[in-house]
Amino acid sequence: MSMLIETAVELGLITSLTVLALFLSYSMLNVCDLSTDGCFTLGACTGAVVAIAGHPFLSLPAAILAGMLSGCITALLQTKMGIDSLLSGIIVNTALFSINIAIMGNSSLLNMNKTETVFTVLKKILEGTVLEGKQVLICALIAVIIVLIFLNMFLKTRLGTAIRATGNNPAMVKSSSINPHVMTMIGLCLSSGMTALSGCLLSQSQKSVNIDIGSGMLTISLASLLIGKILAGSSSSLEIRSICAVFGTIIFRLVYTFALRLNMPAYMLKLVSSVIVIMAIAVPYLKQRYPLLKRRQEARREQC
Amino acid sequence: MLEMINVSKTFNANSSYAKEVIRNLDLSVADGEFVCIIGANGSGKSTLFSLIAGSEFSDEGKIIIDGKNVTMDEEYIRATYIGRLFQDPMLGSAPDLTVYENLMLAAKQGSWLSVPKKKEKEYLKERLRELDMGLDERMNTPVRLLSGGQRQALTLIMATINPPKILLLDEHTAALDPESAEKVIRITKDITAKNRITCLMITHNMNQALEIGDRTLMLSEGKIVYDVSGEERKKLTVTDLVARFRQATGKDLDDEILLV
Repeated sequence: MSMLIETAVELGLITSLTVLALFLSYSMLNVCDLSTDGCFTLGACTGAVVAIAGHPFLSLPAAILAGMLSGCITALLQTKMGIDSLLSGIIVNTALFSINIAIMGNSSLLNMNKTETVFTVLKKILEGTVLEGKQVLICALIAVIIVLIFLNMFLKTRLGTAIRATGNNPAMVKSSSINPHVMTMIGLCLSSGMTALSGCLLSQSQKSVNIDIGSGMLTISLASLLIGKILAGSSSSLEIRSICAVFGTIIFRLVYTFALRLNMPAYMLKLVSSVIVIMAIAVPYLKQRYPLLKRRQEARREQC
Repeated sequence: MLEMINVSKTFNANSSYAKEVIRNLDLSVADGEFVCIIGANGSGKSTLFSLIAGSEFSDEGKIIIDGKNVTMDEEYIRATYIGRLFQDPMLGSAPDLTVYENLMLAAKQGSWLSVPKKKEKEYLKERLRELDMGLDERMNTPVRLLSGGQRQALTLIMATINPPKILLLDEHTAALDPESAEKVIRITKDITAKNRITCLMITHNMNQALEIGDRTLMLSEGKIVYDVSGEERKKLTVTDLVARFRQATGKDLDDEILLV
């Protein structure tokens, strides 16, 4: 059982990088980046190919760069080409399917059983210490902490504040003589880089990558993000909100693991995450609407 | 300071809904001048501001600011020397950001990747204290929690923290309660006078149009139909102005024009 929990936490930490990416693009910049699934796979494929070529450490920046490039293109489509924000995400996502297979050398599956990855390198270092065998947990934790620190420092800068303002009131950004297009571009670049890093780490920890590794990742991550939002309550502190996003992801994975133990079939993951997203967004909305609907009913009854 | 030469703007050109909002308009505003603009609904006042600010582009004509042709410059570029306030106090600031964060973005001191220093925060706080609207005590409050008057005062400070060459005020007190409106008008007068900012203000308040500033313009169907300043303006009463309005437009006053 403790093994299962550990795996759930590992998976939670690794995918929380995607959730933090959405924290930047969805919660801050107010753009729902539908290229997330493809971008996650892009990071996984790029990382795997570079690692297989014998550069385990280079695989991480390579994946991040590939992701940033993809984010840049998504942003260009929606700011300079007049394509709707949701549509440009879908288009890039579709295009990435071909690109990902091309990156993997005309194959939809790569095996890294004998490949040296960041995890195997760390495993060797940890041999003989108390932390032996915990390489995935430690590596994921380090990555999450670094990204959390970076993200929070970044959001405090003038640039980070301007990105938050762009998602909040683009008119105000323009009148402060800041180009909102550039802000969207930088925001999506960074968030896509984080998503790709997340994919890269997941593929290396699983020692394989297939073309479906990222499918459904956006909805799963949104579910985690929204669980994190409930954890954070009404806090407006960015630190608390971002840390809660990470805990939200871990909780999501833990709940999912327990559900599996209770004989829920594994293929239900995506249905469950969809339902969580629907509930997290619709319930507050309906709560707000309910008194109005009730009054409308009453008013109609009176007419009869 | 501001020179508009033969400027025209038609919305929905080449369609049966085409509407010429600004027609061959010429306008020259001197450095430091404060101009009040009146006109009925649809007379082109707000479009005139949009053309000056760059959120719309004119079909013909030239707009020259400080000797430079800016007719086709984008809005965010012109925003470095043009400040603009709208009737809706919600438009000028980002609701989920704090008072300080909004002001810090507008102040634009230091590089993009820097975290603003304590000294800068103190300076901005000092500027808010001058407003006397209690904003300096609410630096870390999200803007959405402020009242309309406070938000409009904040927007005014944001627009003028780096004194612009031109300030455009589009009925910026019309949505406020009388007390806040008066405060915001006082702040407007103080700031523009202190920094010698060239200012154009749209108003529906005929009294305001004569009392504030140095010059009054009347717009009708995209043209300036009356332009008064100096001694002649000082002698003018609200009744005279209303008569002028009727004469120029051939219409009675709109309901929304305030006589008091």
